[in-house]
Amino acid sequence: MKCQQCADLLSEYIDGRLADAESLQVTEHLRSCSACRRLEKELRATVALVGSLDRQAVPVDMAETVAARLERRMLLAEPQPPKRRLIMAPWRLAGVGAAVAAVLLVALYVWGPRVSTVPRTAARPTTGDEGALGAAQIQKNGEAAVDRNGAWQAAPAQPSMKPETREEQAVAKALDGQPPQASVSKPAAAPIPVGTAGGDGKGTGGEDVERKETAQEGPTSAYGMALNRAREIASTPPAGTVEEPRSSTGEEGVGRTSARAFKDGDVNAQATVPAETLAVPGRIGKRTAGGKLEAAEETVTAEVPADARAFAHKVTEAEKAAPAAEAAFNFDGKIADAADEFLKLVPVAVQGGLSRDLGVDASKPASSGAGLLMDTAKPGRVPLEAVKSGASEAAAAAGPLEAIKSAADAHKVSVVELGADKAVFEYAAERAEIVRIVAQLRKVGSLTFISDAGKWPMAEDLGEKQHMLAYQQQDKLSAESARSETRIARGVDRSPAPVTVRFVFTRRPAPAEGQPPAQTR
Amino acid sequence: MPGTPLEDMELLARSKSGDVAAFAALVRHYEERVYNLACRLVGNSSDAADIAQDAFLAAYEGLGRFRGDAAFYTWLYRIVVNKALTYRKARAARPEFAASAGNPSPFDSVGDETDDPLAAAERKEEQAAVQAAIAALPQDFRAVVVLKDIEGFEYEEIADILSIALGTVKSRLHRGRLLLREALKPYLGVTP
Repeated sequence: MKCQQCADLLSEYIDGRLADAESLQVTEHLRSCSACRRLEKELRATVALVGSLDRQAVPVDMAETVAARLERRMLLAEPQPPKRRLIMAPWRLAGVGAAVAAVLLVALYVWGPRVSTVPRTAARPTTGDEGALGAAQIQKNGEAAVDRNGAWQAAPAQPSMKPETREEQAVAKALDGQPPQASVSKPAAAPIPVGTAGGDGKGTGGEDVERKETAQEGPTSAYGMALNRAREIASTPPAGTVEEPRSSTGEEGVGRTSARAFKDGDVNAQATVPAETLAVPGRIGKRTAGGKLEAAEETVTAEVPADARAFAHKVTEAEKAAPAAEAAFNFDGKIADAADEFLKLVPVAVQGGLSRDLGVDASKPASSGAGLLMDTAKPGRVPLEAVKSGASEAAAAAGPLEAIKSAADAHKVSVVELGADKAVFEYAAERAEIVRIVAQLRKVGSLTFISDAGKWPMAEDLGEKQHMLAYQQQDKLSAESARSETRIARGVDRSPAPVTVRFVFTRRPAPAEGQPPAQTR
Repeated sequence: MPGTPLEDMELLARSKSGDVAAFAALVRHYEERVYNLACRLVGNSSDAADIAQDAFLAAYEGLGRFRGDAAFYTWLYRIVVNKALTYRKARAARPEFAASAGNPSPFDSVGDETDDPLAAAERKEEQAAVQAAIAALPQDFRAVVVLKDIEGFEYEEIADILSIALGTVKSRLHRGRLLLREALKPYLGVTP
């Protein structure tokens, strides 16, 4: 056994994870090699040292605080016994997730900063339509509504309970009879009067979407993060009112693009929702490999005005009619037209190029590497067919990187977004393909990674990934883990939906004179 | 780690039907590990408390989706790790917590009852160094190292919690330990 082989196995050796034969080989080697012996000692000492960290005492009131927050939420939220939480079947959530996101984006854009994540039953203005909806719900849920109403009265009687989030604070204020901060420009908050307004018991089309929404705080998924991002973007003032581009540090390449467009007075730009907010793959609504990713059914409540609800209905219908649509959707400012756009403009499967070139099993679902091309600086997406021709020819000729670049050139887009599932990515990473692509793309633009698990791969770890890759190649992974990586790459070990990793690539504009080149990470 | 104990199964069932008190009892069963996990992942006790709370809330909200075919803690810790990682991301701009002499650490040992003040000081310094070294690890490595070497999970459990391959657990753990070893060399007591 060589030193490097031995060194690689030391962690597993220490942990007693090696098979007898291998373990014996390591022992043998250690006996004869002082350098490896030293490394072994140091690793053991490291493990011991890390393990010796003192445990931290839990804040005494943890359970009480959690319970109090839960109770508060239950008082504030729509009644939602577990079995009724999923109005839509899980498989429909996939597409609907995107539709909901689209609706929210519309709402967020149009009604921007006034939208919050609170179930706004209390703060909802009582326009006719709203009232009708409220009444419809109350009709269906008479008893619960009364309970809820009771809760409104009960809640202020707990002044000692400190609201934990801005939303909760807003609601708390509403409960105290003040208008919530988040809706300053709205009419003062008023609880829905029980039993008011006849309504037809059906509400508008968006009711489905609205009703299934539940309060969920904090992003636990790319979906959540994208929504938060959407909120952030929605609160960015539109063209003409922006003094400075929003300072964007780190990996917000898309944000930078939008901010620049705003500053340049590109009116259309404000109507173009940046890629990552839209890049909510439908698959996020499904379970991931490991099982029940909580992100899966995470939904977000926002105040969705009447016309947006109608729009939501349209989108839902459209989504029904086109199950393949993985929701790339362009909002160009006209709500009524958007649903049609939604159908016309669907993401293109760069997968054809990407995964084939990476040698990944072609029998995988076509959606495993879906991507789309879009231009955040201009309104409108590049239509499917156009992009397909542009991208796939190039892909066939010169590989994924060229495909991306040439398609971007062909369609004069500044942002290219690719999706590949984690298996593809890992497999590609093993082969240094992605790392190479990333390195090259980063020469001409910025690249952001989003994974729907919200945790892999971290953009900032990419350097580390490469590092690790070099390390693995150099030292050769143990045969077992190499096999397991391959199995995963082929999707064998990942029977449920794969984790999707998305890339958002923003092409850097050619530097103007006297202007320093855009910053890269 | 055992599977989900019977008592917890019962608490889970009651929680699912909306029994907040049952859930609070469940929180008490797991809060120590959840909180410590969060502490080590974010390196800051007040953030850790937030994350722990958020994770429990998210767990409650998602109880309907917990089908009991995996151990509850696996499911719960996955939420904690996700919360901690997204939390860190959101706060990436902020400087990391670092213990220093002038800045009393929230990680000051709670049970330091040594008589020898010198030894206590050394121990404190060592703990701060270890915490700082962990905080300096790349996120993916940190999660694996913390789960293994602090929380004592097996490789397979870690693979489950983080939804990564077993091979990835191995390589991240090894890489992470190597990095820690570099950072902690003065404290390892291995003579050249």
